[in-house]
Amino acid sequence: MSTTTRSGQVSPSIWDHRRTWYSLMALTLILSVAWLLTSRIQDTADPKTLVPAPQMGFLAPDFTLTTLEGETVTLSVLRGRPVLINFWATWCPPCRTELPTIQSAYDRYADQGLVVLAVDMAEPSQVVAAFAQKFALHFPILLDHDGEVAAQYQIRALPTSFFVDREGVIRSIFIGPMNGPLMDDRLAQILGEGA
Amino acid sequence: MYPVIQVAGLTLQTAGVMALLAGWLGLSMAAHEAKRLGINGEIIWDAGFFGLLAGLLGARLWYVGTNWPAYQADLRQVLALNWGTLTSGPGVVIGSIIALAYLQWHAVPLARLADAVAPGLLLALAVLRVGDFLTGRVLGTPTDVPWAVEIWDVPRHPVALYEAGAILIALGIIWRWGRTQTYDGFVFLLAVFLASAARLFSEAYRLDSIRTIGGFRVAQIVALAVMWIALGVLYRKHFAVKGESSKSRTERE
Repeated sequence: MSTTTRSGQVSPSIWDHRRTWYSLMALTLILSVAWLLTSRIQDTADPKTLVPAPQMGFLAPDFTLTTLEGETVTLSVLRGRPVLINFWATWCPPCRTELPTIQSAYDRYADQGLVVLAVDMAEPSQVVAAFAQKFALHFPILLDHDGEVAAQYQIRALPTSFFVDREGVIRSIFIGPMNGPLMDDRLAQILGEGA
Repeated sequence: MYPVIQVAGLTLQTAGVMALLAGWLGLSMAAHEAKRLGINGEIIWDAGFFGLLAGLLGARLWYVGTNWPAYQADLRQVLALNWGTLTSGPGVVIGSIIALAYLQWHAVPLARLADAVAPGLLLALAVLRVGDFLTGRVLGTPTDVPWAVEIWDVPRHPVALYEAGAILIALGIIWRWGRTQTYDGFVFLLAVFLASAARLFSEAYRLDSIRTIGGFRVAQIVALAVMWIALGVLYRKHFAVKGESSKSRTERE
């Protein structure tokens, strides 16, 4: 980068001095390292796991709902146990194909502490109860009458599953129906620790 | 937060819309720059298209391959597309290889091509970051600055917007001063340097940084290393090109 002056001589730009480059390199290093040092993270806990958000790596947002049988279930009370939260509805065909898989997982892993919370989205309890009986579902089915919990979890498609570990942190999220191996793979993540 | 956008009665996923917008704007800018540098813009569009296609296919097949027991029983499931059943890393690699192979096949000079693509890449990155802000995917640290944005009940640094802003400043610098083609590859190197600087800066306000020993943020260390490499190459290239031109001058004399 040099410009030719009227006298025909080449006048070098500042970039032709090696000193310019050395200064820039030194400046880059000093500023960057200073910034790196000031923005170090001091506390040891992963800050994500303290923020309730319906996203992977974050604390599962707390909720309280009642089951078909009228019992009250609060998510935070289940801390210490792995939880599968599944959002579904009786009118949703993919949910219907997935529910037997959930039942089978529940049968196999309940003795390892697995909790299944199948949250039905905004349907009358009679409809849900008839459905559960017909499909022989024995895991707790929660009624989200006004869809408030679904909104809290930003549900955009049914079914959606959240795999919550013993610390209450969401380890994975799956949108759409899962078959056995896909579900087992994800359950292993939350069952593994401290089982 | 706006995880979905309502357009004319349709509910669209913000992340998807912003990714499309980023791709379209980025490719448009790349095609424009390619024309300016004497490369056929059509080839860039085609390479982008084939790369995207190959990337999606690769991401899907990779996922099916690594979860084969889940698909073995019911092969129709392989065709049931779902964002959760794509593996993005290998997809990006496969897509890039196909796009590069396509460009190589059309004998596009790669260093000059990198110059043509660099500003578009920055623009695409900035748009993606705005998307991250809208969906709340990238979380900032809690703060009480007046421009804090409340996400998950806590006022936070709008860190994705910081990065988008820093990248747009980088793009402005390149647009104003960086496009004098001293040698092929210059714009790209400058873009890499400035984009890394943008990340180094904005990463400091991220809540979910990956950390290493001493509480340092990994992304910042990587950004600093990349900045230094880019600066080193810029330095060597500058004097190499200068040496060549003065040599050819003396030869003429």
